[in-house]
Amino acid sequence: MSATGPVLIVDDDEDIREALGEVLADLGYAVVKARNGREALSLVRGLPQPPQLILLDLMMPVMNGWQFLEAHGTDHEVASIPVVVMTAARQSAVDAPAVKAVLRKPIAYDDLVGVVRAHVR
Amino acid sequence: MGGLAQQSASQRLVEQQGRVLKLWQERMAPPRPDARPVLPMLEALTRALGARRSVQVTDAGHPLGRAQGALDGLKSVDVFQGIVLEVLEEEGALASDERALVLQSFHAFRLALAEAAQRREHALTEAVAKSEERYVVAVRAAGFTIWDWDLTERRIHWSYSVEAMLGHPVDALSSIGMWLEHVHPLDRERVGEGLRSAVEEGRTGWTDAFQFLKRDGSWAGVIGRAWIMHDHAGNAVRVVGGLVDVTEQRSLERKLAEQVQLTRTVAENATSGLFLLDGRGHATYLNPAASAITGYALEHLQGQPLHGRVHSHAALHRPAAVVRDQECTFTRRDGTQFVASCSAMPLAEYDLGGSVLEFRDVTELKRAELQLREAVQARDEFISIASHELRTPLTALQLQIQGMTRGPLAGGVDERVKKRLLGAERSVSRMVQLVNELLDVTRVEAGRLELEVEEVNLSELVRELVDRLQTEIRQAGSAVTVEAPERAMGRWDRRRLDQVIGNLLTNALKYGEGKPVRVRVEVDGEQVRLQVRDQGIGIAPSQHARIFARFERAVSSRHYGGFGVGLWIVHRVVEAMGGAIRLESAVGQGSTFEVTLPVSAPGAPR
Repeated sequence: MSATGPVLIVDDDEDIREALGEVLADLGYAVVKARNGREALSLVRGLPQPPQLILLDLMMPVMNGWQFLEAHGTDHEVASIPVVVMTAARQSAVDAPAVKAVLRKPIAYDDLVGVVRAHVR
Repeated sequence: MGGLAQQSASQRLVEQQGRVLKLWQERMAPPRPDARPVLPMLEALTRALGARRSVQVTDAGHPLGRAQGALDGLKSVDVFQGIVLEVLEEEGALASDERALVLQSFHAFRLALAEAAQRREHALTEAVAKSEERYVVAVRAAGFTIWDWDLTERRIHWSYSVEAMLGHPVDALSSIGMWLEHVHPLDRERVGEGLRSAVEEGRTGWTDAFQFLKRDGSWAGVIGRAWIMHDHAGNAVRVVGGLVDVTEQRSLERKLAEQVQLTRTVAENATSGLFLLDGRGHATYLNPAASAITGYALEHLQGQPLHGRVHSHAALHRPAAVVRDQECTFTRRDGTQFVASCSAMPLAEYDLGGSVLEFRDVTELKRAELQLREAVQARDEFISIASHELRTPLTALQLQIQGMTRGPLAGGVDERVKKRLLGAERSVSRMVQLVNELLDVTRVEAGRLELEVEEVNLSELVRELVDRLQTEIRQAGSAVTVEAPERAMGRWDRRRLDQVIGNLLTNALKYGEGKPVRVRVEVDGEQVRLQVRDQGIGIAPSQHARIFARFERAVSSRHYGGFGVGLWIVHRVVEAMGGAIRLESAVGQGSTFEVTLPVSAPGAPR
């Protein structure tokens, strides 16, 4: 895992992407953003450094979070990247080996920072 | 010798007896009583003369008893005495003492006869009195009296029972005019005319029902009946009649009629359909509502069971069945069908074992119910979606604000701005809580309170929570103490348990008036107990049940915010984990909430 890879934010909501991006940027993390699973996949493949962590929303158009996780698991290049799922639903059955944690919306700053710090150097 | 003397004495007695009988027949006018029973008297007298003492009427075997029948009446005793003296003196006059002895015996005999007659009369009078008494009592109970109208004497004789039945003295209503005067004015003309024509037209009987005035001024309902007797020429001479008091029967009949009327009114005006069924399940009556709903009239349904033709419910067909509000399908006369709610009750009074069947068309009701259910579902779905949708902007808002108050920028923010940002942060977290509650309501309501069970240390959870709520604790001014063992392990839903404790603790702070709050955890075998106790305003016992209800709070909503669903959710969550919640509180005495949880929530995988 590269020490310089960014944190990938996948969410269809622009305000969320922005807020997450700014909070993480304030803390010195490099951030890349995608609006859905498909954008995220192509983004990951095109990046010079693979992301250190993916913050993944579940309910998105085009390719949702579950579909992304499926594709993510079959792609050897990216399968090892840890994923943190962000969801508004209380019970979202997320059963993929890459998922390291679940952040429930509305996400609190301390929870977000805690999770990111745990997975990104 | 003695034997010869005896024989001649007995022979003489036989001769004497023959002589007495002959004289008896000559002297007693017909109808002549049989004298044979008195002959032993002669023997007794002869013996008495021999013994020189008078006949003792109390002697055993004395012929008195038998003689009584023949010598009833003292006149015949005199005749008998004369005959006896004559026969005894035929052979020579009696000595004066002998004569006196005979007379003395007859005197005693007369006395005994008189006494016996008196006794007999007395017994007879008593029997008559008893019989009359029985009669009067019977008449009074039966309400019955007899009148006897003698058409030649133009007088009416009443039986004594008229007094018992109507209060009138026996001789009070002694003419037909007075009799009629006591008939109710509305009945009088008819009764008088009926009686008159029956008598004049040669009929043998008359009967009518009318009101008869009692002595006390009240009216007796009576049935009058009379038998008219005629002489050889065919003229009516005597009318013997009876009056039967039917006041009580009338009043029963009236009550019955009222009851029938009432039942009819209820049945005719009921909005529910009613069928009366006989023991075979055939309709014997249907009310207008039943007719209007089904389109049937009684004649359409005769001779066949209702079941199969009109309704489909087998239980309603059994006459002894008690059915309450069961749904069944009814078929109208035109073949269309509807869903009805039916009840059936057996009619015990019906000898045939019938029943009454009540039904209501509930098609509309069911449609409305369905609409209501759909509306509630739509509402809950809306709240659920709204709550989800609100989470996205809330996330952005919360992160932006907290990024400024907690992130690296915080140091560079102007103090006045920071103060405002902290205010905004509090509002956001309040809003987060409200949105969560909103979603919980729909979840609990829809029965979708799913638990994520895992190993949890309750003591640790309590300490974490108290740490997390430091700001609220400071604001409330209450000192919070935690009494908990190092470990209180169990398998529960951590987030839900967090929610329960958080709710109880924030309530304790909110209503605790700044006084100390104590949280205690105890492990008790297969159970753990969590107590949250404040010393604040307390809750009146009458409110205890209410506060666990939805949208309720024990105090005015103007002073304390929130949806009022906190304790309701707490209650449901605790129940879902197989536990119970209990409240001890009184106004001004603070409140203690105690949650008991099994160490393993139901359905939790081990």
